[in-house]
Amino acid sequence: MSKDTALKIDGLTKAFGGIKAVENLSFELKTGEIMGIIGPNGAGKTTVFNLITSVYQPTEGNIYFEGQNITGKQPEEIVKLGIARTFQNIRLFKKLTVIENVITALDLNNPKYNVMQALFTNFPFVNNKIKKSEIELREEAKKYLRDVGIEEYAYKTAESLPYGLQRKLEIARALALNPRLLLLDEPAAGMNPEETRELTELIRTLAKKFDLSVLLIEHHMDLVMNLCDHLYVINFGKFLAEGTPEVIQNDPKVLEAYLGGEADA
Amino acid sequence: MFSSYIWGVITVCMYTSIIVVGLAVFTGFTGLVSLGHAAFVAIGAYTCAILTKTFELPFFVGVIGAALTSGLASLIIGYPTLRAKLRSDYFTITTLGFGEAMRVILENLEITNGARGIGGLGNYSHPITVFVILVIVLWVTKNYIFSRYGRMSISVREDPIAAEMAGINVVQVRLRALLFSAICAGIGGAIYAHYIRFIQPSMFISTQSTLYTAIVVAGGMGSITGPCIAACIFTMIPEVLRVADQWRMVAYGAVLVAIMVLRPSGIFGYKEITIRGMRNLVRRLRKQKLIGPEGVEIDE
Ligand SMILES: Nc1ncnc2c1ncn2[C@@H]1O[C@H](COP(=O)(O)OP(=O)(O)OP(=O)(O)O)[C@@H](O)[C@H]1O
Ligand SMILES: [Mg+2]
Repeated sequence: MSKDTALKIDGLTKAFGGIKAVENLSFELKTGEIMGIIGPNGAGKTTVFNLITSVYQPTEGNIYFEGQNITGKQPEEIVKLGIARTFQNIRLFKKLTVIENVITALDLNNPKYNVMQALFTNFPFVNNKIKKSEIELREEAKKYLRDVGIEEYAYKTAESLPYGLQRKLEIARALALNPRLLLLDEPAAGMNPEETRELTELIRTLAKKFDLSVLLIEHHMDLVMNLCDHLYVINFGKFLAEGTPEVIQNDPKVLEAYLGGEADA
Repeated sequence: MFSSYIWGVITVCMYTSIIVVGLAVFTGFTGLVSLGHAAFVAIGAYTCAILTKTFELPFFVGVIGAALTSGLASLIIGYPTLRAKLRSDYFTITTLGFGEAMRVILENLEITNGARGIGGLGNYSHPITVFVILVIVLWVTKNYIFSRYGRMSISVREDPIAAEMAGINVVQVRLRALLFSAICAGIGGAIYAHYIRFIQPSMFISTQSTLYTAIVVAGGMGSITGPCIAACIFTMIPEVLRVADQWRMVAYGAVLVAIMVLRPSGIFGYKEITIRGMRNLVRRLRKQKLIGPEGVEIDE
């Protein structure tokens, strides 16, 4: 394992009570690659993300980020190492403004003042570290909003944004953490084909601009086929197939899993 | 100018505000519920009373001591319970037990003089002194909220999982807010002790804790000025309705229900009273010709 493997999953299993949501999954994501995890509803895709980011602890198996074993670390430690994610069921800080959502992520890596200074040195009408830091953060945060194209909404509350833009804000907040690996959980959910195409371009652009490796979950096949260098298919928590989009598209097992899934629904 | 009765009511409003402003940081801004804050008030009250009476130290030393002991107690009960990150209800239940335990401890210790309590305390809580302390507490609280620490608190309240994924240490943020609220409660308790000049364990029971939390919720989850106003309203209800003691709780209940129906997110919701806000309000009223024209065109 070296720097050209961004993420390595090894024998990952997660059981919830008697149900194995994820069973013995192993894969590697090369640095700079965009990889897709696909599979029918309930296949265990989101669970994989929750395991990588330590929302859950795996029952078995290990997770390596850039060669380092990160299994069992606290979520905020994992974030600090360089992994950021978005959520399938959008999780924004709803009552905060759009720009504050980004600032929350932004001021983590480089705080300009400590608690005591914050509490006891912020006098009214006097310029100080705290006020200066707030202004700097706002300028910095605007850049990320510009990158995903929602700068004009900066001072609206996050909950007031339309659904599609909330997804973009989640991406902006994740980027503000300065990650090297970005996990996107159904970023195009609820978007129409036009919006999906636009998002595909956006993800491609951002990955290049910020030098990211990307792991994404998606049901929109046009996005997946267009964007991903590599696909990993799971079904009922188990490995089903792996390969380039062309290979996966023509894999009879995959077609069957999806058709079977459709028939069940 | 005012009678001593009025000054008394004002003083009660002020120290109650100190207590609920701290609790607002914890409940309103960080999203955790405490049903035992009267215990922190009690620790502050007793610490200050013992320091000034038994050890004959000056009042300000007593207040600092109160802040320290309440703060320390909050870390002792907060550290083990707040570590269950996704289950903040564990903490709420613990606070309930903590409140009861504190009363029993106070009733049985020698230094606190058991159930009889401590009397003959110095009359140190002058309205001016209390006002100065209130202003300092409000200023520090405002600084807390409008800093990265306040933003972290709100993000934890809004979504603890997303906050973690924004790299925030949820346990630390909650513990910090608890510490802050306990320190405020301790200071409030110290003032209370030297205002009422006689304290006993039954003054710090769980109904009192519930009232503090109700004031924060009624004032607005995510506001500092809202809970202050609510503190004044809830202090004045029993004063205005001096009919019969048992009707007091009914009045509280009625006010709470009215607030929840009319303003589900509290009197002030997420808003604050600010000078700019006042100016905008005056401007709006003027435009509606509710306030007379000033002879100048009102600009937009
Ligand atoms: N916290 C949990 N407790 C119990 N079961 C869970 C939990 N989280 C997920 N599961 C179960 O694990 C299985 C996989 O869920 P998961 O959310 O990972 O699927 P998914 O592939 O993301 O599906 P979708 O495409 O619908 O998002 C499901 O059967 C789900 O019910
Ligand atoms: Mg999912």
